[in-house]
Amino acid sequence: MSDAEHEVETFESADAGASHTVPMQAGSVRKGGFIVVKGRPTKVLDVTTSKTGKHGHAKCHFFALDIFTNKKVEELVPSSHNLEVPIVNRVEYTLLDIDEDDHMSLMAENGDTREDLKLPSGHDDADKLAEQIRVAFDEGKEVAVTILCSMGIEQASAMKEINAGA
Amino acid sequence: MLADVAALERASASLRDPQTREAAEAFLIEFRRSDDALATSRAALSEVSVSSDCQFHAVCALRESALRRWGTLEAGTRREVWEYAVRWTLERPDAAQYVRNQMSGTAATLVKRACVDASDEEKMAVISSVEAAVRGAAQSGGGADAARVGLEVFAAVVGEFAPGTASELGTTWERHERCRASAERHFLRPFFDYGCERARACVADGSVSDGRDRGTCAAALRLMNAVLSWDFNRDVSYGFRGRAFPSTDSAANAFVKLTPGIEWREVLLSPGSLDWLFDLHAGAESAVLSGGGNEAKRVAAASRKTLSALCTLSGCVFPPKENDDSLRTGHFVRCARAIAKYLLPATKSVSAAIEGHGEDALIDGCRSLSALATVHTANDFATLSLGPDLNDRTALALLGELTLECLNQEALSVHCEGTVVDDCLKMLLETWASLVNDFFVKSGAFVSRDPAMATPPAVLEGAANVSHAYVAAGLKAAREGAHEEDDGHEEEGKAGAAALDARLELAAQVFRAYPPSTLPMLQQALVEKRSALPGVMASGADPSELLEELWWLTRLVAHVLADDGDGETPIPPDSLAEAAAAAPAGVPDCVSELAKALIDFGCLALDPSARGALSPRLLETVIWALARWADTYLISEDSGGNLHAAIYAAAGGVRRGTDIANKLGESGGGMFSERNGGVQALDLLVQIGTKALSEWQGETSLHRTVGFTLFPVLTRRKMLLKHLTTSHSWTTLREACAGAHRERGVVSFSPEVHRGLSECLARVAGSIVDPAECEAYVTHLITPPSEVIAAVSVDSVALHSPEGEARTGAALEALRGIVRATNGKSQKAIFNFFAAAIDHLLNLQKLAKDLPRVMKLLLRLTEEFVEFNSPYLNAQQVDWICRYCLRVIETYASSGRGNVKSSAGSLMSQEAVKEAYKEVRALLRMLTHLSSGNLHDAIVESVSPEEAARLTEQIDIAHVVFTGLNTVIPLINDELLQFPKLCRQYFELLSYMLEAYPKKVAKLPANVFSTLMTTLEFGLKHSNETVSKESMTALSALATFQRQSVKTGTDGLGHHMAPNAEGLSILAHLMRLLFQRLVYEEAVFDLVDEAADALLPIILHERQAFETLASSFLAAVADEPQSVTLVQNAFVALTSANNLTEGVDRINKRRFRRNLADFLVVARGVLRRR
Repeated sequence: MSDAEHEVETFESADAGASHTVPMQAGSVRKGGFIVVKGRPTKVLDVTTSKTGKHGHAKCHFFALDIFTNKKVEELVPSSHNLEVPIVNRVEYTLLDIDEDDHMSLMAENGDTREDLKLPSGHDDADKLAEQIRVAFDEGKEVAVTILCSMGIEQASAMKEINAGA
Repeated sequence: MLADVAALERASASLRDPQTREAAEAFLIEFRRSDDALATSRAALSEVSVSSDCQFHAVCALRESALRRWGTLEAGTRREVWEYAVRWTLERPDAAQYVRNQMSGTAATLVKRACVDASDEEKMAVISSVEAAVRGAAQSGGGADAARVGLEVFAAVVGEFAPGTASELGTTWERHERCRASAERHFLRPFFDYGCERARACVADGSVSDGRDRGTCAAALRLMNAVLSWDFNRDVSYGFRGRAFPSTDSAANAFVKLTPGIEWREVLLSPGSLDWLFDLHAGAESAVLSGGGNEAKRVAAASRKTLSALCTLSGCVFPPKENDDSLRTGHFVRCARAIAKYLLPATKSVSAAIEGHGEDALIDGCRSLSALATVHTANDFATLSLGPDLNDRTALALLGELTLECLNQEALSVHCEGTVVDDCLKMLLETWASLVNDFFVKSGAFVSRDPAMATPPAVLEGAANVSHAYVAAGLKAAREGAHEEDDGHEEEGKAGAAALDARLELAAQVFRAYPPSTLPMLQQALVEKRSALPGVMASGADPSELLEELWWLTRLVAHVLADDGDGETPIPPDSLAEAAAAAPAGVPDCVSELAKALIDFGCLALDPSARGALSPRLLETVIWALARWADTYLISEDSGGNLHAAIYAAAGGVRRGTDIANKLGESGGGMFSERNGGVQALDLLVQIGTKALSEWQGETSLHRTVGFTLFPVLTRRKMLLKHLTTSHSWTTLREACAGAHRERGVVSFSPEVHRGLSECLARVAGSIVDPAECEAYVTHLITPPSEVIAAVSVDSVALHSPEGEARTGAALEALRGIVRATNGKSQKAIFNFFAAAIDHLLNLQKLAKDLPRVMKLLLRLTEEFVEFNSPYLNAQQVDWICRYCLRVIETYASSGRGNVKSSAGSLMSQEAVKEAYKEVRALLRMLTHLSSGNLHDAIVESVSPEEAARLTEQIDIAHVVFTGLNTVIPLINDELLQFPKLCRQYFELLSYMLEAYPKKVAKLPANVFSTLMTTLEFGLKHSNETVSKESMTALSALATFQRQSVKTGTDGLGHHMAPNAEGLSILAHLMRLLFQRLVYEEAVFDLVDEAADALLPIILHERQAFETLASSFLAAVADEPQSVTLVQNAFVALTSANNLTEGVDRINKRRFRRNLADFLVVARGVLRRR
């Protein structure tokens, strides 16, 4: 388990064969957008442009964070070329239970439940979030967990206490 | 005492050893402060055996302790001290250089100290005795050394008496000023004469050349330089006129004009009086060139400095021109000759500078030439011969040779950037610029342009030659730099591009001097390079060099043709306007021809087969150049030349302006006027811009230039707008933009470009006469993006797809652009769109709660909608806007955005905080726009007065803002308040609302009011000065309102004033807080005025609470009776001194401000100590 990427608990979901990305011109991807870098979905933190030689075409230099592992990555693409942009979704579930090997039992808005996702782990932010979820749940609060889905990977990305303060 | 000398000696020695250094420093500092420092240091200085280091520290101690104890010394002792210092310097010429410098400086400082408090006669007595001592030492057989030290003492005294270089003496500025005046009146001339006399003597007996003078000559020159750098400009008898700072910020002009009075005429100007100096200078320079030693270099440097100072000589030292100009011209020729002698041949001096020796010589020479050009006329440069030994050259020839040589030595190449040649070229071009602009008098004011003042033809020809060489050198440099990676033009290289532009701007002035020669040359070069392009592309060779040449040339052409308008109405440069007017009827003039070549070049973008040759960078510059040109020339509103005529009329040169005007009138307003090809050119520019957007995909930088430089220029002026409304190309552009929104798939250019384009497109609506057509035009613009909004607002899946998000972003940016261009004519259509689309927008806002970019744009759009519509609204629309804003805020608050916490170190969550900041700030700005007077005025002005009163009551703007604030405040957490802009925005809004609507505040529900007060408390404690001040202003408004209400018997803040748990009302609570801060915290004196304004009404209103507070302060020092009395008195004075009354009027507030400041001085002194 030396490679940090493998430490993240992720699952390929059922629709793995469907298209998870759409093409988009590199020049129109802005800061805050998503792109695929080396097969991973990332969020762009900064874009700069440069040229090859004085009279070459513009190139975009992306500085991005893997949305699941928080690892920094960089990418250089001619700005008129197309990039793969991942489709990123967030789904909110109500947390029903956490079992002994950290699997969460989650209920969707329509009442369906699933138990295939573990608490987030693998990097500092994820561990912190897992801790928050566990503490809030142990205190008996009603907890909603947001699951981030992209390119067939799903992982809890945020939590909030429902009716907190009410 | 000898023991102390020994200790001093030991300390000086141990200062060199890092181990003992600290202890030695401590000892020396202690020693300087000790009472017997004066005596001990004198004893040490009298000892023959002590080391130089020890002498140095003794001198320092002598200086410091004499100055510190000056007030307590007796008159006799004072005299003895400075006399000792002077005498020691004169008697010990063999002392080490650094000791001697320190001692002569000390002597000068003490002499000045003795003069500072003395009368004019006493001052002269002191100076005379110094002078006598110096002269005596020099004559009494002390030899060259004694003479040299004497000169050093004099130079030090001059430096000490000049206010700019004087030492701090703990006395007033006025007394320094008196010393300066007395020096100027009495001893500056004699000192200068003495310097001249000494230097001349050395020259005469030949002791300079063989070194027998032991540096006397250099010292004498340094004394002369000290006198010549005197600031003569400040003549006390005329009052303080300030120092003559350099007129521009350029490096070459960084000299101060030397303006001594008439009394200096003889010594500086009479023929022969300074000839020895020029000879000496020439001799020294040639000695340096032939490998002279250090002494020769010293003399050369000093004499060159004297020469530079003489070149800046100006003002009333010269006799008035109409009387006798020979003294001035004689001086000019002497200076120019001296420069010529050491800088000619130019090849030699420039190569020497490049090789690293003689850099200073070249720079000094160029700067002196530049100084001469500012002081003397172009005619002097062109006509006065520098003498037969220089082949009867003129100064102009010298200038030309130097400039051409710099250009030959590749001053324009990238490698030379920042080197000596580059700097010199800049100075030389500035010299040219001041020569060709000579007909503006030297002082910078206009004069009439009589033929005698016209720029001499030789200057024009010279400028033209330089221009030709400049183009050749620039093209060469461009070719060579074509393969450099850094093009200095990306985001981080903006400074590099700006530096290039500054350089070209300077060169452009020279180019404009003689348009009939330079403009055709530029045109030819442009055409030639352009026609070579297809060949190079076809051959498959690397076109980089040619492209770079074209790039550079285009940039230069744009600079030559037009100035950067910089917010002003740009008009063609004078000489170009004149050249265009001078062309015979029917013959195209050189200005228009060059412009045609430029447009023609841009048209390459329209040709599908040639287009590929234009690199993005080149096209970007071409478009930038076309925009710059168009701003000045295209369908100019000054088609009759009236602007020029008016400017020249004001300057007294009516004829010239009228000539241009008449000429333009004859030819139908000149080239590119409305009837003369202007409309066609406008059409071409629009086409070029459109093609740049569609054919150069992904080149964001190029697209930005089109959207934010070219099109804004084309839509700035009414005449252009008028033609755009009917232009076919403009319609094509509109269709292209509309298509970009409708097109499924990828958006072809970046969203912010959409904003720029839509803004330009929408601006045209303002000049469509028919209201129905105007509305149709706006609707046509607004429909495509609003369709996108309507589609995604009901389709969350589409919105969340990357493509949908990008298209939404582009649509929102486009709408922002349209809103920003709102004008009286288009407002109705824009408002109607919003009224119709409100549900879509709000829906989109709900769906986009996890799309920060969309959310930000949406909020900015609403904010700008309020801002840009507010001048045109009627009462109903205001009502609508208020309700709309409330819904936007409510929707935002319920979306769960804002109020985010970042976890430390996580980049992702920091981004989230930044996003929240931008959104909340947009909301605050929206509220600020709502609260601005415009909306209120809109209600009042749109209906009858009675109706207005009813409506103001009904459409309660304040209520909307407070409700909005109540919703927004919970979103602002401590992390967001760390963004200073947000923090300031909030407190500015808060203080405005409390000042403008105190009655509404009183009626707020308790929870809203207490939220406001919590933030106010936060603001009062804030370390940022602006935030604190705004909060205090807010508190002041609130307290004043309460105080007035009590007086008039109304409710005031009513139930909000209920006491809290400690039994204090909210005002009393905040008063205590403020007092605590003022008394105990750092840096409060800047806040006193605002704090006083806030405290006065509270103290008057909350007497009881104030007294309790005062006694709590007293209790803190109860164990010290003396402190108790002090603080007690301070409190009494605070509320009673300066006739303070019970009112909160302006006068009383002013009194209280003073009282509070006094109070704080005492109270802080006593209370903070504990």
